[in-house]
Amino acid sequence: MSRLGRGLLATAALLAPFWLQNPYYLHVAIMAGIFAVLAMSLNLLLGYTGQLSLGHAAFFGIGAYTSALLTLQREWSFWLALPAAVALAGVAGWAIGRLALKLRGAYFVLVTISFAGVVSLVSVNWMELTNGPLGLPGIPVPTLGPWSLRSKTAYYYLVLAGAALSWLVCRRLVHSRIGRAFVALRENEPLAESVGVDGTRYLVIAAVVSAGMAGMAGSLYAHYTKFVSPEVFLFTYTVTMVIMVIAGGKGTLAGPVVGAVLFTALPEALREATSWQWQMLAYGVILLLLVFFLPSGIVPALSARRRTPTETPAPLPAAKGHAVGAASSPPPIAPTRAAGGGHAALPKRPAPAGARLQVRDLTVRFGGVAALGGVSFDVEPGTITSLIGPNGAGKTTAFNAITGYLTPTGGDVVFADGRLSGLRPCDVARRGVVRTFQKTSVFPALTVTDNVMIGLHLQGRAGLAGTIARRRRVQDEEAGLAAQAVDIIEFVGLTSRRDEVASALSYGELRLVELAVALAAAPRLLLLDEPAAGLTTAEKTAVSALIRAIREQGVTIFLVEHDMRLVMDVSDTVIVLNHGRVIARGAPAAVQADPEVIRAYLGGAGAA
Amino acid sequence: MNGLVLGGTYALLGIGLTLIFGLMNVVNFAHGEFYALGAYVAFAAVALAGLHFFLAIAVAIVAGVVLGGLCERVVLRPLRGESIDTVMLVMIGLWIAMQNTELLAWGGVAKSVPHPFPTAPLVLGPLSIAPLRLFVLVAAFVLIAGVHLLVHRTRLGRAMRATFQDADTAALMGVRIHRINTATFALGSGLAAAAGALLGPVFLVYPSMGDLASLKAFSVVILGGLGNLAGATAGGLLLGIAEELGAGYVSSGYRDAAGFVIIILVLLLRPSGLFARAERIG
Amino acid sequence: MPPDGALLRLESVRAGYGPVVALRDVDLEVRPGELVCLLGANGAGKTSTLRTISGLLVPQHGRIVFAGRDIHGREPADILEAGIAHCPEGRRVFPHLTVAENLDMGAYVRRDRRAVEADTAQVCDHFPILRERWRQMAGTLSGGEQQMLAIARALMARPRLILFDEPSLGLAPTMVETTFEIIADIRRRGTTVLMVEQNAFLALRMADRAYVMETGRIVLAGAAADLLADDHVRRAYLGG
Repeated sequence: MSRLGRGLLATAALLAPFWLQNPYYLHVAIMAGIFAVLAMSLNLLLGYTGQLSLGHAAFFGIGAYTSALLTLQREWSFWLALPAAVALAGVAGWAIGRLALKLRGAYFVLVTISFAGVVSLVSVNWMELTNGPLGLPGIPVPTLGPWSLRSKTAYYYLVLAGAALSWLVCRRLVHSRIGRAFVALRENEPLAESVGVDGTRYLVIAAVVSAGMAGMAGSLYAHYTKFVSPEVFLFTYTVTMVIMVIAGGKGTLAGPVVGAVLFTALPEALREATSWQWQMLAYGVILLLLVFFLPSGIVPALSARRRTPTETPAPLPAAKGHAVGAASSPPPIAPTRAAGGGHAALPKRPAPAGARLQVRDLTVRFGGVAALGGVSFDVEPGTITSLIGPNGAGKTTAFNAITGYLTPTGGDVVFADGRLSGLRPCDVARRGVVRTFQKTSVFPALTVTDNVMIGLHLQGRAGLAGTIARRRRVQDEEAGLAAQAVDIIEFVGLTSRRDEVASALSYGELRLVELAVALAAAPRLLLLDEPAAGLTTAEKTAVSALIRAIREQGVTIFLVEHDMRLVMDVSDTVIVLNHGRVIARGAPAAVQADPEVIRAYLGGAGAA
Repeated sequence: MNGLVLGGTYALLGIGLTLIFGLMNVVNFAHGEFYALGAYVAFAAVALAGLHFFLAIAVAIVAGVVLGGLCERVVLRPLRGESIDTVMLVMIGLWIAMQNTELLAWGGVAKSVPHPFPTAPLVLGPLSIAPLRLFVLVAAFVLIAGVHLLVHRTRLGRAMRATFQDADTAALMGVRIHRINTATFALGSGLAAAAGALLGPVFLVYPSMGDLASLKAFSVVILGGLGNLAGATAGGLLLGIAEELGAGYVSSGYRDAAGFVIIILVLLLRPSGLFARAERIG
Repeated sequence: MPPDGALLRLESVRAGYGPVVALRDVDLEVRPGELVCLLGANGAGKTSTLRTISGLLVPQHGRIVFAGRDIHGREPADILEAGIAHCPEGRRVFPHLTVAENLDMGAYVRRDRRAVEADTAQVCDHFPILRERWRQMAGTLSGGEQQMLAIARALMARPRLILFDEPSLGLAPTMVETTFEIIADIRRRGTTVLMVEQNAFLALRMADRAYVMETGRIVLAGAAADLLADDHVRRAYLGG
């Protein structure tokens, strides 16, 4: 949305009480504001982290009850009760986030539904506290100094301020390192973890902020209607929020607001003609139709329509025969830079001497089958070492076990004097050990630049408070990260494509994006799982040049690859795995001539 | 004893859901609506059409099967290959739409299904049970046994199990996966409708009855393990008994909390068992 | 060789998974009674070729003709009914089905109950170990036993052509020999075989003809005996 459009809308919202003379319309506007806060809070979870909470009414209700009880029974001021409501709902969000740690998708939904169910039952049954189904009447109207906010106009401005605050918090979070971590978890959690994004931590952060916002909405609602009952936990509220977010456009800032305004005003307009049963039925049908016909929502659909005629895609590089950007100019940018000593190309950490990977007696069993039966080897610092072997030899299993994606049954993995075994993938990345994946793994809905920015996660340290307050330090850090991203994208040769969404790239380009994301995490040891799989011969040549250039930057490389020409071409050392055991190890030529290797690859009768 | 009556119907619900969830990877939030559908069809058949009670239950099951199959064909099949979350949203939409259609069709007032059983309890030594509840218990177990036979003894059941274990290979054996999906969804929905038709006369029939039924079905599935029929049967009985005990010893207001607590506890304490299938590394 | 002589023919078949191109214009044919093997390094497109033939992967371009009928784009069930069975990589027996049920699944498309029973008895004579394990879950069998079951299961469909994908994968050396003997025997009894195999030397010694694939293309084709002598094959696997 343009700056002008935003300004106009803000002015319209500010002046609403003047053009909405009818108090009933103002009531609708207030409800729209409260729902906008709710929808924004749900969007933070559903739209950004990709986790659907169907228990959001619980946080709304907790906020409403907290505020009501504190003002009624403890006679707190609304201005203290509101933050308390936010805090308590936030604590509930924290609890859910912590509890649901590893649960994703449907299981997360079920836990949130169950949580809301339990909270709702408590509100009905704990008569002493909540007055049960009868509810709590007579909640006081907030006052601001000498003024009471009794009038609808005054309350409208209170709600508007609350909505504006929520919008600001969402906006700052979304455009930050934290927001990128959310989206990374939504788009591709294993990849996010591989560059050091701590999934649990960021899911908890999202849950806390989201629940806190819902709590604020609850408090605003309670003091507006002056009455709360267990009805605030009704599933209807949650469903309404979900529809607002989906219809408006999940994962966009404006979407939930648009959805909230639309789906508060529309049913009110229809109310004359129909009963609320029809309204709920319509909700269900609308949700079905949206998923089929407008899956991304109103706001993305509108902005896509506006963009098409004006924006033409950037012209592609001329020699596009081989899809890979770097491949089109045979000596790609990367090696030349490296040869010129241009170390600025990659964000670097000094690789301490002896940053050796030591694998000792690594064993992985699936059920009774030993995928790795006590494997030991070293990857020497500064080398390109390859791990090869026939299908099912245990190569990817070894990668998964080293990088924490798999808990080994036995053995040890040590890197630079620290044990890696037992660490989570994000902690392994923190130690400077970064891996790529065999199947193409990027953040498909994001641009190349944003992909790389997620890769830079560990290079920043902006926290929740700093991000929301938008401190100077955080802004500087962002600018620094963006500059690093530019360098890294240039290094892999994708500069001309950096504003493209990853899903629009060719397969060869995607493999370069993967490399760029991994490089952004500033690895000391980079584990590449079949980086050349599926590439054409020309593209493979470019990738091997790139692998060498990365090594020139001081990064140790550990490679799994099936293309033997590439392996023999780039490797200093080759380790051969068969049936979960190391059968040979040495220089490429020696390994190629090893009879046992030939037998493993070409079959027992080979010598005959 | 009441715990067993409830448990039997919960097992029916859970078996239907575990088949759908396990085989099709569809998080069927509309499952409880097929339960409500069964109850309403039974009510309509007895109270309005004047059918015999037993016949009405059969009609309700058939209605569940037909509507379930239809839903799969019309709503789910076009979404094959979409992410599990998209499908989940569609099922939520279906849930809301079905529930409110019931509300519009029948109104919000709870209905009771007339039944031909005497109200005086049967006394068998120390046990006493209403004849209707005894019938529900027996019928539920006959149906459960029937499903076990279908799944373990027939060609269709074998194909269902094979598809669940390895859909690609099942396709190579000539199994038409989309037909298996339709059959599975129809069967699951039929079982939910059966549970509704059986419990309808015991309790009251009202539009939002499906919500709790869905949750209970999910707790049963989570208790028993994904796609595990025997587990769902045991899980259903366990939930029924737990609710009865919870209502007896804690407070009857918290009866329905048992399902919620089970979902939360099982998912928290044993999530690894549930996620073995979700591994997608490398 | 006239085109009519082919039992199976692929004409410039192109296929892929999303953005990933797996097959780039593959031409290939298998004549009745032949044992043809498909060689190449991992990721060269061998498995994708088999998956495209059996309908698991829908080709984006090209034609697949089997016994004079166009089977391109058909469902796996139709292709199986036309007479092509596919014994997939990694055996893929149904682990929680008994040995007996696995064999029944192999005959899933057949309606001739009596003939199926006779065939079951016959494969059990052929693989006595299956009769010993009759009521056992297939997942509890050893790797070699699972391979026997997978082959037997594919035979239960009475195919005219069997596709074998890496039948020796993960088997102990003696088991590899046995498996190859079984496949040679199947061909001797008149079933045509198209086989993907890592163990190139062993495969070439029993095959009539072979194709070598590299990055989704056929790069070499010829009589097995000629390829055995050709250094190309060694290089395709080990580089250099």
